[in-house]
Amino acid sequence: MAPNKPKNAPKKAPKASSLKELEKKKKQVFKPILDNPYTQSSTWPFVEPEIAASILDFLEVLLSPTGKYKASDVKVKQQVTEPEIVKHIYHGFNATVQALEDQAGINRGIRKQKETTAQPQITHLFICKYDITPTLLTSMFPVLSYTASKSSESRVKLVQLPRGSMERISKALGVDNTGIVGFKEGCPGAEALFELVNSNIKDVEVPWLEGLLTGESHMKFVPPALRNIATTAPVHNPKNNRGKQEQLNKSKSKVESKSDDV
Amino acid sequence: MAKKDNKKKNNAKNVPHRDNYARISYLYQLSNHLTLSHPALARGLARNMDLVGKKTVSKSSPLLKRTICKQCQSMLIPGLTMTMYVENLSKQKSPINDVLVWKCTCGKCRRFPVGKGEYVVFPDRNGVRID
Repeated sequence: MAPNKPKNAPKKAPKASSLKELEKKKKQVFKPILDNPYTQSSTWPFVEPEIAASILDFLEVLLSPTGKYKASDVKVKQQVTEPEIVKHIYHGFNATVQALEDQAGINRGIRKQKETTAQPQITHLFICKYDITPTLLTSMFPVLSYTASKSSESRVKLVQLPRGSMERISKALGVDNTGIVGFKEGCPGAEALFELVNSNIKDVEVPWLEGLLTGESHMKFVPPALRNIATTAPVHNPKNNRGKQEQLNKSKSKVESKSDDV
Repeated sequence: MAKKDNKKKNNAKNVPHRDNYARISYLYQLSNHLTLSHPALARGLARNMDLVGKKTVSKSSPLLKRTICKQCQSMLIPGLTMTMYVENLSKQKSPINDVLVWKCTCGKCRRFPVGKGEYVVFPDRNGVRID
C-alpha cells in the first residue's frame, strides 16, 4: 500500500542547470493545451467536518475488535472466535477494488454471476483520501463506486475521511497503512453508521456516465476544455538568419549572372 | 501591464486552429458515450481522435490521453473496461517499488510507479499552469 511519506512539494518546471544550458536564450511562450472535457475533481461527495469526525469514531468502535483479536496470543486465538465483522468488510486497495470490480461486472451485466457464490454487495466505501499518496491511487474511486452501484436508488456510498484518519483506522484494524475500507450490505452492528452516512452524504454523481444506471441518457457535449500553459521556446539567433539571407542573395546573383552569360 | 497580458492569454479564447481541438474533444466525448453500446465504433472514434491530434500537432493533456488504452483504443472506465491493482515485484517488497497497474480488457497494462511519490504531469506543474 501507499507508504506514509511526507507529502512532497509539487514539482517545479525544470530549469537549466549547466552553463551551456544557461547561455541558450529562451523566451516565454503560451501554448494551448486540451484538457479532459469531463471534470474529475468535483466528483467526490462533500463531507462536513463534524459528520466526518463522528463517522470516524463509529468506524473505530466497529473495527477495534479485529485489531484486538489480531494482537492477541495464539492461545487466546484458539479459545476466542474471530470477530464476525471480518467477514463483512474488505480492507486494503487490492481486495476492495477487486470486489468492487466483480460487483460492477455483475451489476452491469458484463460478467455472469455464479449462483453458488451470490455474495452481499459493498454498499459503503470509506477512503482516507488525504492520507493516501499519490492522488492517482484514489482518483478512480468515484467512477468505480458509480459503476459498481446496483441501481440508481441504491448506490455505493463513497465517504472521504479527513487527514490523519488512516492512522486511527489502521490501528483499530491491526493492519498497517489501511486507508480503504469497504462495508458489505447487512453488516452486523453497522446500521447506525449506515444511517448516518445515508442521511448526510450525497450520492456519487458522474455526469458523463449518466445513462449507465438510469438507462436513459441525454447526451450533452461539453465545449473543448482549452487552456494555456506557460512554457519556453528557444530564441532564434538573428545572426544566423542574416547569414542565410546573404547566402540566398549570393545564389540569386549567381543565377542572374549565369543568365546574363547565356 | 504584464498581469493584464497574462490574464488575456489565459482565457484561451483566441487559440489558433480551435476547430482541431474542438474535433478532438467531440470525438472523445462521442467515444465515451458509445463505449458500452457500440464498443467497436467507440474504439474507432478514439483512434480517429488520436490520429487527428497527431496530424494537426494539437497538444492534449496527459490526463486525457491516459484514459484511452494504447493498444485497443477503448475508453478505460474502472469496473467496465479495466481492472486495477497495486503490485510489487521487488524481492524485499519495499514500498518504493509499488506499481499501480491499469489493465484493459484487451490485456494491455499501463503501469504507474506509485511508490515513488507524487508525479505531477507537466501542464499542471508550478510555473507552467496558469490559473
